[in-house]
Amino acid sequence: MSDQAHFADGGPGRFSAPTRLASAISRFSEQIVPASFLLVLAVVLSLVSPSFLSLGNFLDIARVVSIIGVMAIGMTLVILTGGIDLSVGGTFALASVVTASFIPGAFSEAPTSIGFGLPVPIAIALGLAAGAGIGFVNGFIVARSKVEPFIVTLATMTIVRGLTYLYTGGFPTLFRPMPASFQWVGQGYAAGLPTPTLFFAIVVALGYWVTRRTALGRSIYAIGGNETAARLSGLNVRKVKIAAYTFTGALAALSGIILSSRVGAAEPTAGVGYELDVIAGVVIGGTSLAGGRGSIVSTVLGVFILGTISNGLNIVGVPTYYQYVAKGLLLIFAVGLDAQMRRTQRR
Amino acid sequence: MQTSQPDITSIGVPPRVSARGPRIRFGGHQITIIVLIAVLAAVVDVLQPAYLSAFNVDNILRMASIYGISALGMTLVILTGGIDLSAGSVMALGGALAAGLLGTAFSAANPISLPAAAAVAAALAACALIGAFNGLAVSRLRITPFVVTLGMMTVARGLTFIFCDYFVRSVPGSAITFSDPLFDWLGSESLGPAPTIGIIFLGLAILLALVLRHTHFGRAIYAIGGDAETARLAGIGVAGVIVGVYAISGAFSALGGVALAGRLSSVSPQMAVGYELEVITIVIVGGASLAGGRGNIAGTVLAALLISMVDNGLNILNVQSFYQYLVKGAVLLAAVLLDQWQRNRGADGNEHARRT
Repeated sequence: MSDQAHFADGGPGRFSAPTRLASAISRFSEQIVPASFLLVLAVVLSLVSPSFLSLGNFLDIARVVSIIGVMAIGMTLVILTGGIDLSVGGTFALASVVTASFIPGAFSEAPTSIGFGLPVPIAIALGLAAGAGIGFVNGFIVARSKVEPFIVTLATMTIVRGLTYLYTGGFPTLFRPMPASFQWVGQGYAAGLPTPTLFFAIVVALGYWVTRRTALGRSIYAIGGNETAARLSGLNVRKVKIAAYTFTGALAALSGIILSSRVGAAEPTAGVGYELDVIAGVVIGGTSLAGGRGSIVSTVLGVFILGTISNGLNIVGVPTYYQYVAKGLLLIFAVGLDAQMRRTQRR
Repeated sequence: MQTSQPDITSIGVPPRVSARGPRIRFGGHQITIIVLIAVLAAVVDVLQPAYLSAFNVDNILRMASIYGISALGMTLVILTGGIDLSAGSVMALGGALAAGLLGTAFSAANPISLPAAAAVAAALAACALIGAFNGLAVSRLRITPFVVTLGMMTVARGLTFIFCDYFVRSVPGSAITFSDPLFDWLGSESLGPAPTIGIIFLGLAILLALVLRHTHFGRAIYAIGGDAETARLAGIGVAGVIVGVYAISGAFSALGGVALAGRLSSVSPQMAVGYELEVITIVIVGGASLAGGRGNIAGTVLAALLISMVDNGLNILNVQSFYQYLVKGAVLLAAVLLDQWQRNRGADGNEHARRT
């Protein structure tokens, strides 16, 4: 019944005070399991290792999860419509090489490399536009054909990766030197936060606003809940789906651009397999792959759970290979726990 | 991923089901694939006559069989409405376990040495167990298959690295390099005119097609893919079937991995990364629906051949690898859009009304 709680909070003004309180509680009831899981994780880790509980380490986690987190916000919208986007890793790479190629001082071994620079904001806008374009194509095919989003975006994932290789000739783009303004995007600080985290916070706020306060957001939930019903109620299903995928493409691009600034290089091989990390972050927060159930807040918790697990395994000193095993099992455990709790609640 | 709307209209167990199950119709879709195979063979052979040489055909058949065996298991999983993202990692794990347990690897510690048949059997059993775990998590804990097998993909890859290091005890991440008659037989020798692994692939395909058509287990797979809840109410032991299906997928992927190991005489812990997507592509091009309930073995077998022919053709034509990505993505997209269009045109009213 949690689906209805989502719809109910659209107009707070209509509710009397106790109902509003109840709706506020029910609004966050979905997040109780992932939030407690994160809390337990943090307590255990801080008991095991004192270095976990430091501001420096928290900022570190926040910065690391921002890259996946920015993409995960877009993915949340797509998954809420009942879709999925496997192409984000490819878009991530394509946007980063497109932007990098136009940054003044960019340098690549590729014979096709572009010999001139554009102002940094324009270069970034070009990368974002490339990402949004890929997202639009995904959304268009998904909305127009009946082919499953998994397959559509699996195909575009391959195609986009190929385009990235063709664009770069397979060579990484380096900077000598990197302009200060572009450096700020991935390596700077603003308001005491690392810029990637700041971008993540802005994207989270934007995503929250879209899902909670706009007609588009409500339509996304409606379509994921029951597409036929949504269409029969007069929603423009195609438009909403295209918007969700386009938004995801643009965010994957933003994430790629941030990372290329952070590491000082744009690699055509970047982001391989990121789509699975992103999807893991979304579902671990409790968003359902069937669509219609989940939220931006859940996703934020989900990516922080994944980030904290990685960080904790490193701090405790678990060897890399055992980290794979632990991460996979924790993913299954966390999502299983959530599913179990949900069923007992319903009873 | 449209699990929210059980697709009752296109399940394989419609009212026309007799006690014997639906006929394995060699329908329009398979004919399309056969035509594509023929066209591809003709075109590439004109451009590069070596394409249909005995040597290259042998190559194509071997790769088609290795992917195909894993795709057979994946077909069952997808028929139930699930997915198995751990297939690639399990391939690597199966290959690594079988090769490592032989205890004959070059310049390695080789802590265990088993007879070849026992080593392969142990590897298949271990991977079947991993699959059974997937199935249990899907059916008992009710976790989305995508998430379960995504987690297991990471777990199995981690285990592969751990076992490789345990067997080799050299630089972490080293490959197991070995040579063994049984593996050679599987990977590079022939049984009569055809590659051994091709015969095994075909044998398993026929076996599964018969199982799907004539056994309770096979009927249950289609029923669950159509609508799991209805299947449960009809008295089908859904959990048992799901566990069985994922266990088969695990064992088959492992067998594919063993054959790949035999072909390469080496198992890197990085082997078969991303193969799960190739295998899923085969099953989908073969005509299965990710929503479950629709698909068949014949389609998967033909699609395995088609996809391997495309891969091989791109290589033999010296297409730059960058363009290969474009072509492969476009082929997948074209295949599914064509299939969609064919089915719409087939005046299948129910199907059409479902999601326009």
